[in-house]
Amino acid sequence: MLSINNLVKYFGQNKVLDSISFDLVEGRITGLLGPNGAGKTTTIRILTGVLPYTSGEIKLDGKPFNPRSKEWKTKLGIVPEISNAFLDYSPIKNLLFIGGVYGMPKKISKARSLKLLEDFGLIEKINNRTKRLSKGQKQRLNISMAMVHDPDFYFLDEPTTGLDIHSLQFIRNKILELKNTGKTILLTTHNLIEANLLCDEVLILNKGRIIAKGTPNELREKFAPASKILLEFEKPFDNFGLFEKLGISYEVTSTKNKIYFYTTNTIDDFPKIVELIKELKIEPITCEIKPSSLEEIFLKILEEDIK
Amino acid sequence: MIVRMRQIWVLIRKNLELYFKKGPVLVFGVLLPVFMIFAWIIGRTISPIQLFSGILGMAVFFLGTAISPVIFPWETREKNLEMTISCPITLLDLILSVTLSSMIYAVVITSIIYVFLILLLPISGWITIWFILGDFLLAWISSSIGSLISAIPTDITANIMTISSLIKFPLIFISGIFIPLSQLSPTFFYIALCSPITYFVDLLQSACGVGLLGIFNDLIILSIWGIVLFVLGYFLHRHTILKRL
Ligand SMILES: Nc1ncnc2c1ncn2[C@@H]1O[C@H](COP(=O)(O)OP(=O)(O)OP(=O)(O)O)[C@@H](O)[C@H]1O
Ligand SMILES: [Mg+2]
Repeated sequence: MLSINNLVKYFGQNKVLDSISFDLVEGRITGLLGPNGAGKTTTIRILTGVLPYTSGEIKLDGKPFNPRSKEWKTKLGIVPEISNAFLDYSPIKNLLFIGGVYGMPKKISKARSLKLLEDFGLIEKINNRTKRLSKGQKQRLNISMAMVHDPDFYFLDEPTTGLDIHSLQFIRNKILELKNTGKTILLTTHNLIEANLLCDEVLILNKGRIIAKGTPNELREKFAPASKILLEFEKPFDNFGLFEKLGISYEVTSTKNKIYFYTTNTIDDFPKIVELIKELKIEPITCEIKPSSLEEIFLKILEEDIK
Repeated sequence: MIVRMRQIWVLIRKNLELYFKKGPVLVFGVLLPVFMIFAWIIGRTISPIQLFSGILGMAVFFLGTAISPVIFPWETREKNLEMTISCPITLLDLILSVTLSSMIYAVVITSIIYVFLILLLPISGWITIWFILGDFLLAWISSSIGSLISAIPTDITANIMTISSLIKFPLIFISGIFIPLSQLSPTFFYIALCSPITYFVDLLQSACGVGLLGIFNDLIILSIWGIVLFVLGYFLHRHTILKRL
């Protein structure tokens, strides 16, 4: 287990990480979410020993250690925000390079590289220059580069940004496979659906501070109504004021044909809404209960943080 | 230790494979010295020993400084540096590999030139051992100069090449390449001693029996240059590496 305690990072006068604390646990995916410039990449670069930190404590299984040490770096697989493979090398050469600098015996590194290229659908591109790969192919190469030496810890900085559905799903499955083999994974993303799908724990980072953490479900319970109820009408409806008396908070869309009710008590509130519809003799074309998305929670948390 | 040597070797191989035919390397390492050598020898009468030591001096120096200054700015720009820094490699090994790559590049090519010169000029092959020692030393020194200059934290290769030219040309001109040390006035003689190339040229000339400082003095002074420049480069890089990331 990797424990981060009160980690602070300054760039000059600029405080980029403000005393953040969290744990990374074996066999779990921790998601680091936050708007642009929140400090996600900086956190990863510190934990992977690229940048020094200003203060705080980082412990591995309870023992303080230096993340810039060789022993630690040997255990890491890193997928960077911006691909950093050698563009004039072929995919196989890039993988063998990683095998070499991580001190793997050549035979093993070669066998593993070939297997990864096969797995990641890059085998036809094996001798092309990396420069000539498409974005998705490059991203697959980056992930396979992180896996050559079979590390215990993975740090993935937006591994799925800008990929098509097919590659996206492929990479998400790979990440889940890694988790299932007991690896420790830290993942940054802007995509809340992804965080919801993959992460066991989510940390929400804003301006260098962790403003919320918990499982996707916990965050949902804590920060947002458990669900929303949608009524949709065929034509724009102009008498939404009638719903005021229910005392449930609601929101009308700009198209004026949908109304969302936000509630933490669906069991009581839903019948009330249905009752009122009957009373008013109006007929919505849709009436459904939706769990609130992580997206809404995220926005809500950020909103509260600004206040 | 063996693992560490393998890691360094992997880095050296990468440097040689990726950079030996990059534009700036070919221009500054190959084309430029070829032109300079031609400009120097055409229409002049130069003694064979002067010619021999001069051509080799320029070749080693220019080839040695060809690859090493390119790598850091280039890899900063391409983000490869961030990858290598996150790999289990120390900064010392990284700089060592850069310096060694450029040195190997220079040693291999100058050895070929040496063989041609020995065949063409009336110079005895007995000096080969002194050439090899001097070749490695000056290649290491040149390469260290290159990596030292690349400690300037820029990601624009052209900037580094301009600065390195500003340092390289004076070192060539003040050295004993163009005029034998023995013919220099005392002032210029002392200036010539400020260039490491002087000692390489004098080493070859001493090996041929016409040197001024003596083989062992030259070797010792070259070694000191090599150690000082490398250590200086290492500390400068340690100071500036974070500005690149
Ligand atoms: N090397 C650096 N020097 C100075 N400031 C930096 C440096 N790297 C990052 N910063 C600053 O630190 C802050 C956090 O940047 P970081 O890259 O960690 O954000 P992020 O959460 O990864 O954002 P994004 O979602 O855009 O990738 C930003 O304000 C950025 O300008
Ligand atoms: Mg980022």
